[in-house]
Amino acid sequence: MPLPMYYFLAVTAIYILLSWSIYLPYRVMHLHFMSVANMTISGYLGAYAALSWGWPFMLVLVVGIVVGAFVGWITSFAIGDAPTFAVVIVGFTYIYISKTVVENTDALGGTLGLFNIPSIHSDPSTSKLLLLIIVYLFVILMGFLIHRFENSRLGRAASAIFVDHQLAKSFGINVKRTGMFLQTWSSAMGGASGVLYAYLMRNLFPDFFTFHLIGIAMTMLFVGGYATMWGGLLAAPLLWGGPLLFPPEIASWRIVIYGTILVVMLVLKPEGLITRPLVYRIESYFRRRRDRRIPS
Amino acid sequence: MEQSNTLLDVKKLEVSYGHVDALKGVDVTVNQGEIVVLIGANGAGKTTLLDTILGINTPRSGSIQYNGTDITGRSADINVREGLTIVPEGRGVFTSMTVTDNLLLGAHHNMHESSDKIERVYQWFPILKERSDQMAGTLSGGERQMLAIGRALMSAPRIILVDEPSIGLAPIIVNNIIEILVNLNKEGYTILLSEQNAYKALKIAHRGYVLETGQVVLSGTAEELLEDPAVKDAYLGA
Ligand SMILES: Nc1ncnc2c1ncn2[C@@H]1O[C@H](COP(=O)(O)OP(=O)(O)OP(=O)(O)O)[C@@H](O)[C@H]1O
Ligand SMILES: [Mg+2]
Repeated sequence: MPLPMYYFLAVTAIYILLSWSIYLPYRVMHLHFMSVANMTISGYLGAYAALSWGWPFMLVLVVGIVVGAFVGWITSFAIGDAPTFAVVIVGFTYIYISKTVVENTDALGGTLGLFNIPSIHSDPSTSKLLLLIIVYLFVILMGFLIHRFENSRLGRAASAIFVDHQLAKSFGINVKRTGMFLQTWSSAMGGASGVLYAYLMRNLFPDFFTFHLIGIAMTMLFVGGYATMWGGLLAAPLLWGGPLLFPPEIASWRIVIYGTILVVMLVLKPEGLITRPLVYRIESYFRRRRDRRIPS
Repeated sequence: MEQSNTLLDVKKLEVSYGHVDALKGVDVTVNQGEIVVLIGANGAGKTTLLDTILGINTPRSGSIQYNGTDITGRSADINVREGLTIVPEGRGVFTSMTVTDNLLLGAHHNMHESSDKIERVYQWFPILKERSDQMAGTLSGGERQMLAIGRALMSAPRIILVDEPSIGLAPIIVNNIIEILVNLNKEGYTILLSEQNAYKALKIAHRGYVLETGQVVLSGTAEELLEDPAVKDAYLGA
């Protein structure tokens, strides 16, 4: 596989996971960026364990997810039902702290970064292919779980909380527990993304895990459409892949391009490209076709 | 004194929002099988009382007993599980969700046999069945009120707290809603109803309380209140 293709697919998958990890807490109006910090924590922890203790990939991945979930869960006790601005601040703080810790820890490579993270197979191209397969299987698994969640009682509860959490409470919905659940899930996905990113790139730089990463993921979510899981899925390859096709002198303006697209989108179509009514229409179209095929 | 079976017993309830004392020692009881009405002008504290009973507000002092258990300060999600439910003021439905999803929200804590429950709601409100796939935002005011009541029924309640169901509805629709409440009561649901439309509410209620600036100023059977000169003067416009 050509190297640009590999990087395109690899980074697209990470961005899909990252935009979903921001999408999930946003289902209850929480703009939670902690998953970026979870990427840093689990990514570095995993890379270190692989390099220094020889842990195998699968173990690193599982531990990365568990650590992400745990950090998210513990934090969610404090901010599971906090107002949006408090959640934003906590997320930023975690990102700042985790980046600073990494930069000042020599064992993690400091500002220079961490190199030569092992490949998962002795043959480099097999290793790359295997990794891509695992990463996309993980994306599909997460997509499936999110889709299940949307159509469950928890998904409905989240939609109710998004609109009016006071009203949601009056139906017996536990607002805090719903928020905690989504924040924990988001952080677990962040942890997974960190480990997967480390193995895909085979090196880690603290500069990657910063606010511009939030900017990109947020653009993907809000341009694609924050009201369903499909928005991030569509926008990640478009927004990440599109600028790769530009000539290099334009490509370095990527952040400016993203910012412009985001602002234009928020003004013209605040709900994003893919809206909930659109998804609802498509789903009920398929439901009707299915019902017609199975006469009752 | 008739043999009573107290389902809800509110004693000396005080609730404040910051410096605003919304309830200043309210006593209200509701017996099993009754329709009890709370009458009061805007700001009297009706919504505050109902929200506090359900567990959305926390009282500063006083107690709430439900079915023999002290539920003071217990959270709403437990109370809904135990059979309390509310039809919120202003027909609080989720406009960008379908009618079915709104109903299912009512069964949030117990999805067991939810399709049977929906069918039963559709028997009460056939119009909702016709609209089941529509967004709730496309419903008329009366239909939204029906949806809000239907959603409350989805939680399999024992007592339904109904907050000003008639507000902003045409008289004929109000009669419709009132009739539904009577029928629900005949089916065995206990109802605590807040209303500014005092005449219509007292006509169907067993007992009533008059609330003024956070205090009960008068209480009695519905007949007594309908005949009371002060009530007539202030709330019946006679
Ligand atoms: N969230 C709040 N914050 C501050 N004050 C409040 C709040 N909710 C209600 N109040 C105050 O508490 C008092 C009682 O309000 P409440 O809504 O219970 O009255 P109500 O009888 O339901 O009135 P209405 O018929 O207009 O619905 C009012 O003085 C109101 O201004
Ligand atoms: Mg009110």
